[in-house]
Amino acid sequence: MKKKKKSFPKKSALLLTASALLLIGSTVGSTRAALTYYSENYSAQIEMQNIGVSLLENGDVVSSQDFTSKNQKEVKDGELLTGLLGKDEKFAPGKKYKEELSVQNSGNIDTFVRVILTKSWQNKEGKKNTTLSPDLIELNFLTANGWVVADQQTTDERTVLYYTKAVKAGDTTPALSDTLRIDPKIATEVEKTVKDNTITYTYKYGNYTFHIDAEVDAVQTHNAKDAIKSAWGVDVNVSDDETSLSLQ
Amino acid sequence: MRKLHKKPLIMAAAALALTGTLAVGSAMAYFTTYTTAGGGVTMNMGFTETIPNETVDKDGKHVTITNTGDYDCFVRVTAFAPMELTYTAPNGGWKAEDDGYWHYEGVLPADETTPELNISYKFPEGKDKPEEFNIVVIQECTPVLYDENGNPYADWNHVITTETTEDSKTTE
Repeated sequence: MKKKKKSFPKKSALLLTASALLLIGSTVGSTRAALTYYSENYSAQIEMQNIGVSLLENGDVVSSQDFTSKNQKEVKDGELLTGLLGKDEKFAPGKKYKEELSVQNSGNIDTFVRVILTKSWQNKEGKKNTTLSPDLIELNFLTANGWVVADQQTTDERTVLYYTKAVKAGDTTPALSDTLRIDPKIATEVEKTVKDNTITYTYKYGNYTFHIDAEVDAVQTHNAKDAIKSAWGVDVNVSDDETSLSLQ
Repeated sequence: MRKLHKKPLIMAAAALALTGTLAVGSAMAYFTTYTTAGGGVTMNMGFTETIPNETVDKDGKHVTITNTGDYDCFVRVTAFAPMELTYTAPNGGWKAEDDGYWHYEGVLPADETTPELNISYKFPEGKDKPEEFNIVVIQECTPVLYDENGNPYADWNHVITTETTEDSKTTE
């Protein structure tokens, strides 16, 4: 008896072929690019694109995260407000202290940047007290120099600022703030205690620490609209030349 | 009925999945980075507490105010009695203001005491004079506030520390 030859289904074969072709096709681009760069007679130095961003306080770098050519991170962790008071100086509610925050592009590609600032009151253990008002911590924001406050993303505790121009590699943005002040109203938030002929006023905010946290985000300018949507989750409009953005 | 061949279908699906993975990879390849920093300053206001110190002799009441609290303040003093009172500051530092109080001219830092404010009186004469009377001294303090340039000022409208000390009973 003649053995019946097992037939290979055409439909599946076609699908398999199509998939294989797609897979091969997807690699053609990079292969062609490799051939284009190849040369026996000349050596080409290709500079890797590295992104980096630094937070500056009163002109000094406080923290940064830069990627090196080997795609390794270089991180600097610093602390804000360490130079706010002079030696033996007491903090004075109501007084304006210099607090200029700006952002530097410490990579080698142009970027768009944003800053998220969070204000809070913390006790001695570093625990936030949400019953105390972050409104009393007043950072004076400067918005006539390219920075814009994203009102829809901003709360009493958190302020989100976008720099609307692309920051060129190595450049520093103008300051987004110039002064820090604690509303002197905190001196009126007191609890009065009278004992014999002694009056004691205990300040509600007296033993708390006002705290500021800053997060600086940077993203490439190339294809910035999609990149920002992907990285930050927000919709922005980007100019055709990718040098400026506006919030939607 | 035709038999469904699973193997080629699985291979095809795997190839498609691989192709799809390549597409996802390129879409995610954006250059991004971030950095963070934080910091804080402790208010160290603690509390404000002022204690009047009084002695009485033939020259009247000798009043000083001590800030035993943690935070600097301004102080002022006035007194009430059934006769006319005279205020003098033998060592300076006090000044009469229009509000009827004598104000210590500077900021009274924590743990410091004002110079003396002397409150003297003339004992009543005649047959209607009382056998005894009280001189009530009132001292008030308010926490020091600062303007934008860091200059201290007092806001007596908002935080007024008021307490009456009534410990003087004087009989001639």
